[in-house]
Amino acid sequence: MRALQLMKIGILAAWTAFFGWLVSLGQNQLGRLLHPSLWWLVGAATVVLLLFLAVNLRRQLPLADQGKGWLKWPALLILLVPLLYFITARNGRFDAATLAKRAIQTPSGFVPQSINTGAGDDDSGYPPLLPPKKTAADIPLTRLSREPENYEGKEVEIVCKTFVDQRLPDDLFMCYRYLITCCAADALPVFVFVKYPEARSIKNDQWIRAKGPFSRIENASITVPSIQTEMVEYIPEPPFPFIF
Amino acid sequence: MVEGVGGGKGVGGGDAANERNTPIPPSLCNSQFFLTFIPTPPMIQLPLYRPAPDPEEEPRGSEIIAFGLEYAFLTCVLLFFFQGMSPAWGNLLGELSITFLAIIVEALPFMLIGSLAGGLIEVFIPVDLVDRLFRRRRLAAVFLAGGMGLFFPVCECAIVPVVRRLLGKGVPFNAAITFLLAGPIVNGIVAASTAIAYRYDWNYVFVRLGMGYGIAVFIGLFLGLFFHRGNGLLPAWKVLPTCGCGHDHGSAGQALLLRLRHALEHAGDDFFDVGRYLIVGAFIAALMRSTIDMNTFLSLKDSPWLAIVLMMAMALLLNLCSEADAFIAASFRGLMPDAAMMAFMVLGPMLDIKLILMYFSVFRKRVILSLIGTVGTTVFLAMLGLHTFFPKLH
Repeated sequence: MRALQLMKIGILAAWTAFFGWLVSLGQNQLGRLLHPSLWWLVGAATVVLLLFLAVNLRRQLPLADQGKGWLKWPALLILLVPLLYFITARNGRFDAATLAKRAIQTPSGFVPQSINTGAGDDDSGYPPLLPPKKTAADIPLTRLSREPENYEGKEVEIVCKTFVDQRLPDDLFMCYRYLITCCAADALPVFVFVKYPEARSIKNDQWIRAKGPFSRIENASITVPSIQTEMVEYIPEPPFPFIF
Repeated sequence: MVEGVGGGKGVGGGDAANERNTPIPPSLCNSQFFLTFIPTPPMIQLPLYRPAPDPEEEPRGSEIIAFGLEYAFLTCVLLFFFQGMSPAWGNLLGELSITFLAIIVEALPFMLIGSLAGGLIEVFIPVDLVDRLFRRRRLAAVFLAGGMGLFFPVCECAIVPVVRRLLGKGVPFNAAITFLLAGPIVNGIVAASTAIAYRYDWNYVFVRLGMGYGIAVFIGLFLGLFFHRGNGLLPAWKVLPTCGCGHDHGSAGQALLLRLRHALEHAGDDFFDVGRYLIVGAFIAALMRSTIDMNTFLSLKDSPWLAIVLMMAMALLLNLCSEADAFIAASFRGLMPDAAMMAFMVLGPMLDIKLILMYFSVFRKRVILSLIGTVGTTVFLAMLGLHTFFPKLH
């Protein structure tokens, strides 16, 4: 029975340390999982777990747990499964394969879900956009998609991931990022088309920075945002790959 | 001197002082033990008491099944994890891991806060007070029970033990059913999580809580026409149960810190009891999210009744906590009709696999079958009506 109690204490300690690390030193990792407006939840959970840990350190094993310890082990080990999967989550990425699954496609190509196709007719189901941030790394890709009329003809700079599709013309590729509403489970791709003379030479799933005039183009009766550029720069992955 | 009770544990021995200090196993509290065993003077030779097999010693069938399922889940999860290390599966494992962790990191804090609230209720709210509110007006009690979750903010995993306790205290059958169904939806924590998941679009919150309340009250009244405590409950819950946790909850004179400590211990136990359901549900949800093409749902968008049925089936299978399921539902925003998402959020806290299993610890089989049929039909019809009259909630 002592082993069962130690196991419980170990689980509480592991979760307390994990949440505590996420909300303090591991914010880059937390940013890959959760919308920043909800980070307080992780802080609150850390405090609750600390309290549980404190009382469990001085506690006798509950009567209900006595006498059938072997039955409890799988149930307790299940509580550690997320911590195991965090190992792969750290290196995992939402890539072009994810894009193909999460973006809605029609026979004529991808439908940019977040595009506001008609004035005042926002049927995307998305919440209102957050105010744009002023940092250079935070290019308003969502705004390009949802408010394209505001950027028509203007010079814009985008940071996004490449997706080269054989169905597109030779001088066109897609550039996407994922928009989080609450957490990565609800992440949906937001993308623009990039008109670039050497589009076929672009590698798939690479982070790039591109700069050029913004316009909207018609593709199979769907209006899509696009930029025209002469230079594409490969860059490292930004600290927060998602957009909010 | 009695030789021993319950497999020689020494409970009920002749030493009165020792008897007082010996903790009574919770299983005995709820068995026929207290009905048949009367303490007698130590000098009188008592017949050897042999209670029903003690579940502490001999696990029940449901515990063995649960053990097997948990073991199978762990095996699958580990196999998938190591299989995912190969390049062919690497992308899928990475995507699944991110989605799985994201759901957990978002949902687990809500479950912990809910557990904490449940622990405080367990220690600080006297059940007698609740009981007094219900006994006087039986019909009004049903309507009151539908809103009791506002004062008892527990998720569906924690509500079954509370309802068992209320039933043991004499709360009418129909009021208990109503609280069982409405409690995990009509409460502040669920309202907050739904509001956050839908980015403070309060229409979703009010519709979810309103529909949860209305459906629960209807089912409570409807089933109350056919069932009562006599023909609906398992025999064990027709008698007054006694808590086996070892704490003295009733003593208001206890030091506040001690009571807080007991509340935290209860809350911690909830974390261990309920957390695994959340993790298994989150893993299944993440697997579905990582493997199912969203274009599959596109064809369902034009068939509302099919979308509603699909989301109800998902709610039944995913077993998500009511404090976190809104985040899963919200991920289908824009892809599924609002009524289908609402079906997911209203049915899940009332009926899912783990809940059905837990219902077997209180109700007779005929009640459970009636509950499944009535809840499923009512939620489906209500959501069809919602889609007909209010297709867009935002």
